[in-house]
Amino acid sequence: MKQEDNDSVPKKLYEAPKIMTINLRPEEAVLGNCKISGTGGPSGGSCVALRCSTIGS
Amino acid sequence: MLLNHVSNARGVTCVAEEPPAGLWRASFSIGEVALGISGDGCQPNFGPQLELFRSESSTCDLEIELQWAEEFPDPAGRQLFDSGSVWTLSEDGDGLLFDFSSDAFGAEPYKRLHVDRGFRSGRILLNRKYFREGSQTGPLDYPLDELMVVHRLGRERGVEVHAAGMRDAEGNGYLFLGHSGAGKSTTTRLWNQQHSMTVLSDDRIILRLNEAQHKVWMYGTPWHGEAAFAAPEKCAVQRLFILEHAPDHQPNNRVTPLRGSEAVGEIMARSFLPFYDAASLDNTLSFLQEIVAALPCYRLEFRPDGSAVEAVRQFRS
Repeated sequence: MKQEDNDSVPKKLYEAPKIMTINLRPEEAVLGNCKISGTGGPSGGSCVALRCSTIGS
Repeated sequence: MLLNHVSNARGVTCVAEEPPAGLWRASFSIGEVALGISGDGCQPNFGPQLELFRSESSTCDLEIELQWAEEFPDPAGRQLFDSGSVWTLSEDGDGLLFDFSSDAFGAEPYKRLHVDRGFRSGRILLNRKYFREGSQTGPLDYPLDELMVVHRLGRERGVEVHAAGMRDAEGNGYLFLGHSGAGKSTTTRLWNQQHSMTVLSDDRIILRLNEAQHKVWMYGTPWHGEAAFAAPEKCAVQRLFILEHAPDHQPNNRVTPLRGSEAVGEIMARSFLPFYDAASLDNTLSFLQEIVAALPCYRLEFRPDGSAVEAVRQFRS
């Protein structure tokens, strides 16, 4: 019975494992950059009292 | 400030008693992460975006005391992470220490967070050399508030993603993940122009999974992008799109299904994670697998015009 069941199920084609490259933006991912100044974190010149309203986006 | 530790379904939380006279307490709820902060003297200005997320809850996931200090000795423990910009993380006995420094002030940290490793309680120290009490400085200002939420999410079943999220008039949720410059704010504006949308955020969204309903929910956050959308609302997500600009030679919008590990990888690359914490990364990876199992994911190569909106609305997999 088992052999008959195996014969009736179509075999999947083998696909070799693939390595995919995913691009990471480390400077964004670590919550570090300020969009206005382009520098890391609030820069004072473009943020009032360190209240950065356009965090890295 | 007295804290009582009680247990709930998400583990131990803190219940703060009513502060004595002369003390203040504020609480905020962001993506169902409850933050409580207290101190004495004048209640600080938390900023208009964070104020949208103020709550009245005395039950919090993370309770913080605000204090002032003049001396900031170097961390005694080893450094765990350097963001390369404003903040660093070090061991601090049984807990953790986040230092925030900027050339705008000087060599010393302008702010420091001591917190336990479970991110249940801690204290923020503001540097008295740089700020005076009653100034406009918000103790939770970026990136501290977001760091606390990201670390809480790493210990729960949730994740913050670099994304724009919005809901149409029929209640359908659309989620667009993207790096800086991918077009999140542009997409938000395009959708908002053409349809009556409720925008939860044009830059930062928190995702959670309702396991009983097998549905993914998205939450607005205070941390907006250029289009300045931030709403303390939530919505079930119907589809998730990884947002990219269509190549110049491609005249049309293109939607391509993403499956399995590729979808998990693309989402993870657009997530905010405590990279130094292996346990949190593990937790988040398994959570992203559940997200991908519950939610159709696509890559959207879009033209920056109104055609992208209709391409998404009319797309049928």
